Amino acid sequence: MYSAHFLGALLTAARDMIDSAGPPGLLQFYAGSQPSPGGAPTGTLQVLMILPKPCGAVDGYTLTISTPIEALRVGSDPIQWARLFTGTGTWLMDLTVSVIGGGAHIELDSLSGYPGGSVTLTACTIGF
Amino acid sequence: MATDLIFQGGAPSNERPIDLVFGEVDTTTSAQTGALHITLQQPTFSGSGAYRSNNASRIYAGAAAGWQTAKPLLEEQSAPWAGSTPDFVEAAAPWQPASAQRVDAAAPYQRVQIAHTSAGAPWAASQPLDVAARCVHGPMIGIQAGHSNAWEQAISIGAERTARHQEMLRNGRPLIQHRWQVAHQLAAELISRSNASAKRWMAQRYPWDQARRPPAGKSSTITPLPPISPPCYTPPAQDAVELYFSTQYQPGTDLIFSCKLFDLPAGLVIPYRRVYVAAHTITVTTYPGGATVVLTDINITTDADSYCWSLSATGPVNLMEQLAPSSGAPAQIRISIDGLAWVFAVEKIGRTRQFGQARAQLTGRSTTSALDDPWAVARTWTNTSTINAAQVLEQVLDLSGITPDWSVDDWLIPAGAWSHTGTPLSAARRLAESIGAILHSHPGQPTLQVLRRYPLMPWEWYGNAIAPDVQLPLSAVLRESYERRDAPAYNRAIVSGTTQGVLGIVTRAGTAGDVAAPMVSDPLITAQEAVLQRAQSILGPTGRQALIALDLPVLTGGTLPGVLQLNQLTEIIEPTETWRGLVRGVQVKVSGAKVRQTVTMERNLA
Repeated sequence: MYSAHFLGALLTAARDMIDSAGPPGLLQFYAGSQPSPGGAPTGTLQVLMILPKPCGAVDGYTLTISTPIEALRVGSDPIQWARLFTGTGTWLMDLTVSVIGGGAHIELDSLSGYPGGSVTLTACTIGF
Repeated sequence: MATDLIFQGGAPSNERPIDLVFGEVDTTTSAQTGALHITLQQPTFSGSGAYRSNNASRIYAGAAAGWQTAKPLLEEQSAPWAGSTPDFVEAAAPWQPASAQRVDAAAPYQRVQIAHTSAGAPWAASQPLDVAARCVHGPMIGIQAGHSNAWEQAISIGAERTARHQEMLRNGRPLIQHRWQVAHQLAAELISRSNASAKRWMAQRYPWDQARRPPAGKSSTITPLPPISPPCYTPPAQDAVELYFSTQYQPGTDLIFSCKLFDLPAGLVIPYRRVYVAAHTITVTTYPGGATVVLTDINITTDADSYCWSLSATGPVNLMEQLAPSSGAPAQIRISIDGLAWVFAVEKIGRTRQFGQARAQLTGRSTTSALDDPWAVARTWTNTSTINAAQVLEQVLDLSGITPDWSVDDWLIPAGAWSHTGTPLSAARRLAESIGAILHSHPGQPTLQVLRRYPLMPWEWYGNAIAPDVQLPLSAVLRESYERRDAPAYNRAIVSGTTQGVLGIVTRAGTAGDVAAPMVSDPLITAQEAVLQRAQSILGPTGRQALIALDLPVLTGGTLPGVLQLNQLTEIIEPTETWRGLVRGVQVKVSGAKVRQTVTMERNLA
């Protein structure tokens, strides 16, 4: 119903929004129940993932984030949800997290872990 | 304005009349308006990730191999032939083994009887000769030729048994019986307090030249003028203006200018001299007794990663008794070099003896070593209520006799965030490590110091309003070693607590913050003050930098710096450049009357 050119322009704008600040964008994983969109987190930070800059490339209907991205795990509570920020902390979107096959936005092979471990984002796309 | 409508003629009878309707809108020609509402579908976000514990696990490489471990093949079980048996061919030999033969039984003659001719008379009375009975030979026994050989197996003669002389024993070495060994030259100068003196050119220090007779004529008196200091500001040519700002921009409208000649006087200065002469006064005594201790070759060191000063020295062997531990406590000594004092607890002492020499070696640490193994025992610290970090240090040092010196920003630690098991020193080290601080000891007092790793960040060292702590010319440097220590140019640090901590993203001002250092997490990062100090310790040693070691004399008195201290911002004036660095390590060597210090400095080249 929409042309690839039209949707590609939207995704390019989304990518530029993620990269709009000087520092690169951030993807943070939290424990606790997921708050209302943009609301204060109820759990503790588990993983802080720094996206590359530019964060990815648009091809047709898809914005593909450059992966892999590895980050240190700083908490031991189960990961429940994630939040995407610009480099200066402007909220962009909240995302659900589940184990593989759970149907969430982000699927991890394990929601549990311990400080010192690492979480690697192996694939990530935004599209229509 | 009225409009007349005039109709003429009637409508045809076979057609429909034409209705003229006034007052309604012609819908066939008017413009249409409407609203367009298009709802885009929600974008989809799809990601997948994996967790890795980063714990080393045992690798069973063999389990994934395509083959099992090969077993040895018993080939003989499938061989077409059995093992051969030895063939006893000698069973068919025509002769049996010969048996030993006694040839003496086959001698042709019996033993001859010895005639006893010594009976006195040369001849005995003759007897009638019975030829048959007086035969000198016994009856002959027939020889069985078939069983007898004429000779036995010859036996080899051991030649050495027939040698006429035995081997003579060596004569005893007379030197073994000497009462003295080879004498060694007595190194009497080793215990001298002074080295060989160097020639001193006193004439170079005279402010006057050699006198001479005044020349003929009348001399004019020249009044010396005081030197004119260069002006703070010299306007450039063509009415241009140069502005020198002293600090970085702060929110507000104040413009803070400073003098172009920003060289603020340093607190401690080694002036430029052609010759540096120092006469040192070195005393070593027991502490607190005050008895004289004889030490030679003293070596005192410290650095930013050591919590204390360390000592190694040698001396006469009687130090074994003089500095032995008493009642389980180590002996303490006080070393004073030109009034700069260190107090050490003697930890290890030993001796080495050889002919003509007997030396004792000792090592020691600052008295704060009483907080560490083996003098202190491990215990567990926790906080059940919110507490300041400085209070944690006071609790750790409580009743130890060691005084805390807290020189960093304090922060709040929530209840339950502080937990540590170990010696008091390990607890203090853990506390300093959480914010990247330096744990250090006062040289002469029982004080444990917590210092900032960077009192000034490297990009602030050359600020106009920043005066160096120490200034010295290159001429005072005896030796320099230079080593590059480049590191990634991080301009952003991400510091996080864990269970009760906070998250901080610190970006160096004036940069894009696009090069982030690896994230650091620590349970004691519980406040913004801790975040900032830890981030400073991460962003400080980045970019192009060098580690420079300078050998310097120890000059004391007046504004001379003596032995440099950690974290002193030092300015080195070279003929071609002037640079600044932060003192990261100090080593003091005393050999005889010669005292040298080696100062290790961190220099940022960005």
